[in-house]
Amino acid sequence: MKKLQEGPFDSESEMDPKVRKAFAMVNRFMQGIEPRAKDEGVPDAVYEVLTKLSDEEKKGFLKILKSLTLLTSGNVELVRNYGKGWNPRKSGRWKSVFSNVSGSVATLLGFDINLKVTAEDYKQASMHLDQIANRSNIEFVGRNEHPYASTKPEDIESGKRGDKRDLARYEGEEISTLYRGLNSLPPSVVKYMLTTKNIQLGRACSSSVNPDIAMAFAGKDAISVLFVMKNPNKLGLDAREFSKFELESEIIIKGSLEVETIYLKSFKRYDSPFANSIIKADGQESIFDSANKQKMIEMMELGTRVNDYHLDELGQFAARNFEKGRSLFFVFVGTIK
Amino acid sequence: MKLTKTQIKQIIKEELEQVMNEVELEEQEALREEADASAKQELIDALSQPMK
Repeated sequence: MKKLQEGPFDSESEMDPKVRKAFAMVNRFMQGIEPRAKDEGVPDAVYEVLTKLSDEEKKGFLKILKSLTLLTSGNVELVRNYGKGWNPRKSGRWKSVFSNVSGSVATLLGFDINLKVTAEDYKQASMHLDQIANRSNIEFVGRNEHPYASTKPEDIESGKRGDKRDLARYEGEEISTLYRGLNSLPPSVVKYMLTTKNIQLGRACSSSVNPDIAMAFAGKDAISVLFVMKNPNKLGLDAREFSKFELESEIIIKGSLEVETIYLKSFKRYDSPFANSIIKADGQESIFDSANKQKMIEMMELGTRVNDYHLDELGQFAARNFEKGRSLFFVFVGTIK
Repeated sequence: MKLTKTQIKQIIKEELEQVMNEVELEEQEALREEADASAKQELIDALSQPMK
């Protein structure tokens, strides 16, 4: 597993694996807990994990928490600009940007959530995210790592269930595929995406493990785009339990998407992203050699929603699944590099 | 080799046209690169926004 780094602003040392493990454990032990119970404070298991950390480890944990909080619910532009443009008059307090869970965890770690968020906080978050979002910080947590677990793997019925099976399931699912929806994109941006073979995701791209979240976001307005991103190295920062927008099941990633296949179809909320595509193109083929990529650009130039021009251009048979009035929907399938 | 005035004019005209074409192509290339950079930044900005 790749190791995390704390960032150049305070040390060049690698992050203590205990912090990474504690982060994964808190994420794991928060799952399935009722929102109301979360609002009341951290569960006992999480308390046990956090209180066992040393002061240095607590600082490391807090730094991750603050960075991802500023990215997910702070001012994204300030994170991007390393805090430049920060306005003290508009600055809120940490308690207003932390989710309830993050606020409780931060308090437990000895942080005063009544402090104001400063330009330096944004700068540090920015540098920190640069360091961590393109590395694998996702770690498996077995059921026996729960502070109150019994010493032996339990399965009352078959005796077969245990950490091994959990690990297999975790390896197969969890963050192996991430989804990102985009809407209202200008044709120039989609054209850029069609002409490049590796789409830059930027320093901190918000994605989800839940395809429905990404589809719902993509469908808000034309042109709709969905990234289906294979993540074999489990890169990213798991913000699922800490984000203020918990339902997004958010993972923050950095890097680029090596595009393998592109589909064009009309947007339908509950359709499979790959069903009924009208044009399919090889993502690695040059725009000059790919007639299908050129056709996609041509379709976009005829309008951002399916209209008569599209149908005439494609012909009745080829356009039989292209539903008039619906948003043009591009699906980019690739691997995070 | 002797060149007439008309021939010299023609040569200058052709050379000038060629240079102008090259400049135009370079400008188009620069504009395309600028448009790509702008589109790339716009995409990165959109990707950093949460899906809410």
